[in-house]
Amino acid sequence: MELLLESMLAILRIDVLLALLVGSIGGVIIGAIPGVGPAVAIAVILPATFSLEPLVGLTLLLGIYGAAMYGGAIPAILINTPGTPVNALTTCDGYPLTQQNQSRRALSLAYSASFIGGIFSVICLVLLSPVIAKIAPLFGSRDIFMAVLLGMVLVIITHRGQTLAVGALVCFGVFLNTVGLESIYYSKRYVFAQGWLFSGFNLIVVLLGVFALSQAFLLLNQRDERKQLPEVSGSLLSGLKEIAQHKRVVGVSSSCGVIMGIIPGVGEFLAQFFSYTLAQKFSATPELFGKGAAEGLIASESANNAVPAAAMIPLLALGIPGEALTAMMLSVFYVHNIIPGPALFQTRPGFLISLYAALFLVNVLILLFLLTTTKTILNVVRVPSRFLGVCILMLSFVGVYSLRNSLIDCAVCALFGLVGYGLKRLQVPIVPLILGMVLGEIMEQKFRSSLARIETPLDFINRPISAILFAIIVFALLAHFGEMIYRKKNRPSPHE
Amino acid sequence: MALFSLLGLMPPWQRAAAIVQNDSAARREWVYHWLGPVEYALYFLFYVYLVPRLGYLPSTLLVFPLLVFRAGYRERKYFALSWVVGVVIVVLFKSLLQVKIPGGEIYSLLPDGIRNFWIQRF
Repeated sequence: MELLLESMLAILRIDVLLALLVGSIGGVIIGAIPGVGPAVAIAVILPATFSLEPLVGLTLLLGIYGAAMYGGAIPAILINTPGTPVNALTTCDGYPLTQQNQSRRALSLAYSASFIGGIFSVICLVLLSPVIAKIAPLFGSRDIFMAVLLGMVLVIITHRGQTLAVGALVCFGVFLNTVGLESIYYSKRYVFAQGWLFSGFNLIVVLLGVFALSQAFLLLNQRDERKQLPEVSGSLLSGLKEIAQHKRVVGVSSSCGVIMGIIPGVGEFLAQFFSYTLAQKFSATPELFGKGAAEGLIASESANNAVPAAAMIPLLALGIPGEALTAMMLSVFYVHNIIPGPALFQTRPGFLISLYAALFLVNVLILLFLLTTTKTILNVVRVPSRFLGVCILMLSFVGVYSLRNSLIDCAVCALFGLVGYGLKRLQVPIVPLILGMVLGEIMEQKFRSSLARIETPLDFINRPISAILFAIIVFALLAHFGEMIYRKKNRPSPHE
Repeated sequence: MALFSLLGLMPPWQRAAAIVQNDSAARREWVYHWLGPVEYALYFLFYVYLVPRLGYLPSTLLVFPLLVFRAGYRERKYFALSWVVGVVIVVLFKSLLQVKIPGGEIYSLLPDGIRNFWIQRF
């Protein structure tokens, strides 16, 4: 009881409350501006949070992460432009509702669904993390290696139609992580006698380049468009009442979001598509989907908002990030010498309780903010794209230069910005590159510590957990190739 | 990895080659879209070069409006906005969050009384 009280009091500190407020409000505004997104904001602000206390820094980042998806629904519904990529499906049913003069109802449903998805996810985080942390000590190096390998395989096979490109990017990320002085014997890997490569490629520098700078380049290359915003008037509380009529949809979609958040490498995009497809399949009126179905809107919004807190579950319990944005937050933990994993639940339970409370409060604050200020937030949608690009370019400097005050870091960041821009223009996802770097480092550490205990490759899977994970990897690959062969066989021939 | 990359990227380049082959306008558009960001990357590096010399605030107030001009804006409100946003960024990150950005060499020309203040806050 004393611990609970201390943890709650930690939330009431002025710096934590300020981080909650700035994260929630800032996240909504960032999400509402098409072309920015939480990844850019987190990449820019991340280095600045290293000087803050861990609870303050994480609250700020998680606030931005969670709030951005709430805010991203606003332009998705009103002008058919998703504020963040994960609000893409929100346009399918949100915008048709706006065209039917039901924009207020659409926004209200989106906020309510997002709120329930977010809270459900936090509850799962509170309940599941300690359970997984109890199982986590059973995970040896080989088991964690297999878990990370499973994450990489899932990242690759879930990107249908782009598996080769995504596979290449994951491998490229693993390669980037190997550059520099190796940590055990200090052997030089791929440095080519260049002193600046001895410390390797810094994850934050690459992150800022591929997320923030590339987005700035993309926006600077666009033409500004005048956005006509529809009128939104009246109360936005009606969605909370209406959502009670769709309990099954919101429950199933939030659960999908949580499951997708827990599995490393999957994330909001797949959660949204999966839950939308399921909702349509089991709906009494599937023909309405894509034409303003409330169920479609609820499914996509509750699923994508259920992912952020759920992605913290493998991060906190096992030290394996669920997706790219939580991979960024991993660096906040390491900078403050807080090592995520089972030991965290024994050594810092108060910190974890404060984090759970902060996540809960973030969702409440966001909902209250949106219910009262939606009409004001609408104006941020009008920010011209190229001006936004210039702002992001200037902000990226802070993030990268503050790390080591290095011109080389900035040049590397610019280079990866161009790489990220190229990938975005080719519509190849950039997240696998970052996941490859993060997961690659964990894989290497666990692989090396496993080598002392194995004599043959089969020793990697002679433990029950690693054997089960290996079986899941084989099953996933067989299912993927089986589906590819099935699709190829059933594709209509050009002559038909 | 190199094999995956080649297999993955070949189709877009083949499509691009087909587009630019016969159409000079398309060629110009293609060059603009692919090489345009290199110019902005160079502006970014120019900004990075200036900051330790002129200081974070002066460099920002100089480069931000230049970039706004280069992005094609000509109205005064955008230049004014660039200065306001620039000051907000500097004050937020350097003065309030105390992010580690060194003071400019030019600050050594300031009088003793305010030199330290400028080095630490701007």
